[in-house]
Amino acid sequence: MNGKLPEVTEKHLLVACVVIVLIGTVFIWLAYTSETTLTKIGDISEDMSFSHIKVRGKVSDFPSYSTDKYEQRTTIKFPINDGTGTMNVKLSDVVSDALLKAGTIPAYGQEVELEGKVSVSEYSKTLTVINPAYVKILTKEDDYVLTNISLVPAVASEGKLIKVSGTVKSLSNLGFAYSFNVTDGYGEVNVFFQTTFANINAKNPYELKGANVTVKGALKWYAQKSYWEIMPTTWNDIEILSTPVERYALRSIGELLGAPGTYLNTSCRIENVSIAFIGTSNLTVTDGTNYLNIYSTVSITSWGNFKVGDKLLIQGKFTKYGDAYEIKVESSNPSHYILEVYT
Amino acid sequence: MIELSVMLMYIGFAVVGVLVSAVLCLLPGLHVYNVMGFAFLIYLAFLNEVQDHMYFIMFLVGLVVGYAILFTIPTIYLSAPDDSTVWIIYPSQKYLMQGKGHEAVLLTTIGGVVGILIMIIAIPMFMDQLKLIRQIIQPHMFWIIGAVVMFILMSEFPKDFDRGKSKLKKLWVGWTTILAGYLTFLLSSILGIIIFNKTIVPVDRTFQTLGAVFIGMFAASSLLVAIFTHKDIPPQQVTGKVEVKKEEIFRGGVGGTIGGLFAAFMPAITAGVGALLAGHATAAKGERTFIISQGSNRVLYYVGAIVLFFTAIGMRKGALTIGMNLFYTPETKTELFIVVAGIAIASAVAIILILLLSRGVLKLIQKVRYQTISVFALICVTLIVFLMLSWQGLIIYAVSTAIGLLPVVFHSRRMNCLAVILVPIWLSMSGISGDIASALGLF
Repeated sequence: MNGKLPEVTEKHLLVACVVIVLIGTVFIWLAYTSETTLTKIGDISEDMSFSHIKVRGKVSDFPSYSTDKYEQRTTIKFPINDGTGTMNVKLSDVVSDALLKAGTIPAYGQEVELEGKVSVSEYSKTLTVINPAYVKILTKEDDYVLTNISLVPAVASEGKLIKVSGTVKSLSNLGFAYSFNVTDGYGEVNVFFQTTFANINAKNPYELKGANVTVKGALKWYAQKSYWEIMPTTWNDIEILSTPVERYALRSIGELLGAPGTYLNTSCRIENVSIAFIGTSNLTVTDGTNYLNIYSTVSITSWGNFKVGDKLLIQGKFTKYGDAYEIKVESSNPSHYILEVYT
Repeated sequence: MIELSVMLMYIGFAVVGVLVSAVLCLLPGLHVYNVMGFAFLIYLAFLNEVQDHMYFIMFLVGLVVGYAILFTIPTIYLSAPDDSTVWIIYPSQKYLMQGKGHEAVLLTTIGGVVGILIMIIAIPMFMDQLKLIRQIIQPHMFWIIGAVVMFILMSEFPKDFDRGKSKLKKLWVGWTTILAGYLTFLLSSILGIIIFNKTIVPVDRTFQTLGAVFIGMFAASSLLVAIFTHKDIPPQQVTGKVEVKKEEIFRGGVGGTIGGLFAAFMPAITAGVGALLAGHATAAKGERTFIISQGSNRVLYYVGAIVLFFTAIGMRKGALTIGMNLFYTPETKTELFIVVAGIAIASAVAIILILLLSRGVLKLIQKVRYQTISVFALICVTLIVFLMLSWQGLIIYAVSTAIGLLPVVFHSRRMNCLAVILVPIWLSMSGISGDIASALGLF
């Protein structure tokens, strides 16, 4: 032994760096290729609580959507079924917001693959998804079967995905949902569209009236009235092919009041009229000669900031109330009927 | 499956964290957890706007990796130990005073490399076993921490700087350092009980209280001593190599890893305490072994805690994981793999940086007076405490600095200051924390 100790040089440390980087690269590859194993819902037991799992199944009911009143955080919930059992799914606020923005909320009847933390109690199993990347909709456009409306009852089954084309015949606002009929001349089918999702993209459902549309969604049996309904989830599921020409036909007040029988219950648009009076749920407008009442089911204060003398462009349905004629606006959203205000 | 480009972005953020850490480490006394406190405050304000927390997390991971490796520089050249570096201060200072500061840096880095290799390979591989160990010892934490407290107190020893002429003088000289150590322990314990039960800082900043305590006890006290007593640093040699036996690398690396892992695994135990226990447990001896063990110890303590958080164990230890857990819970192995990859690549960058920074800081301390750097650092850390915790924080900081000066003046172990967290957590686990606080008039 000559007494000289072995040496470690900076080059040795740099070689160690290369080794560490190589190990890091292996972990990048592992991260890139790693996938969570699929779990059957029926196999989920209480000892799996708080573990991260992946499940695949069909959305077995219409998603519910709620906003926390204090934090303004949105949460979407829905159940899924994979044939071995059903579990509840809760999308965190981050995931819900991301899917709402993208318009890719899992719809009733769609097959989805989800990853998240499972919590199991004696009575229920819940999967909480905290990353938008962990929500995959497996159902493709082709999975919606284009069906003649008259054949819907014959092919229908709970949760079956179909697509129909036709004209929107009637539309009613149920408060929590919009309901309308679509007809192709040979048959008629009801469509049920939840208000919360309809309002997200701030479109006017009344635009659908009389329009030719293609609607896709899952079929659900409406037991109370004994018929099948199509359940679209978002506006993306309703494609407007063409709107009726001049649905809101341009009229003058004189024209409407001159031949009310001709125009009664038609949609019309009047422009360049001045506000003569502002009430709690109505306005009176004038073209300088004639006066016409505008009626709304919502408070007039929610219509906007305007005053007597301002000019409006407004649209709605020409109706009769008692002995008087009026224009009744057809939406609870003022931007759908107060189109312009000139001060 | 996460896209490869996104994953590389994550790694990029970790590297940015290391680069920021490289700048911060030039400021002696500044602990990475204090910087992170600010980062969390800013991040939490924009929490609702963020879709992917992983970028911020990887930045913080890089920051901690950088700190664990690069803080060797101020520890050796600027002698500002934190709670985890008190154990090596003397061997590394000896190297510095012999003109071999860069060799001390290399030895610590060797320890760091051993620690990183063991950590990134072993922890993911044995996480199920670690989880089992954790479950087994969980109910026994109370008496384990109690035993550690006893060990710290019992292992305090007289330093024999002088010999008294009379019997009484001899007794006094023999007991001065021990008593100073016990006094430090007692005062730190009382301070800990107070701040854990009734802190005086603004409510929304209470999670930063310990920052003021640690800055006062370890940074400010060291800086004050450095300002008033520091001698000139002798000319340094940079040879780019260091003599060391394989056995020393093994003993130091493994010993430090055990200590660091123990500290990362147990509540209230810090790296310094872990190193003390591991040093005794592995019968480590020799300066090189000590310095190497410190390198691996720091890496395991700071970075190992992150890896443990991302494993199935899901442990929260240290300001990073506790802060992260406010808005993020790791769920998948993919996240663990990404973090380990980030740690590996950030570590490699930090190792390259430390070789460059060591040379740079050597030039700096030969041009700028050490006292000037210390005064600047003292102003900075004081300002940080004020910004973090307002004037109430400065009161805690002043008290902590005074306690931190005790071991420096009486040459007892600074580790006794760690009673500030050990004792309150121990009492809390024993269920008598409330009674003690009440007896002290805190409730």
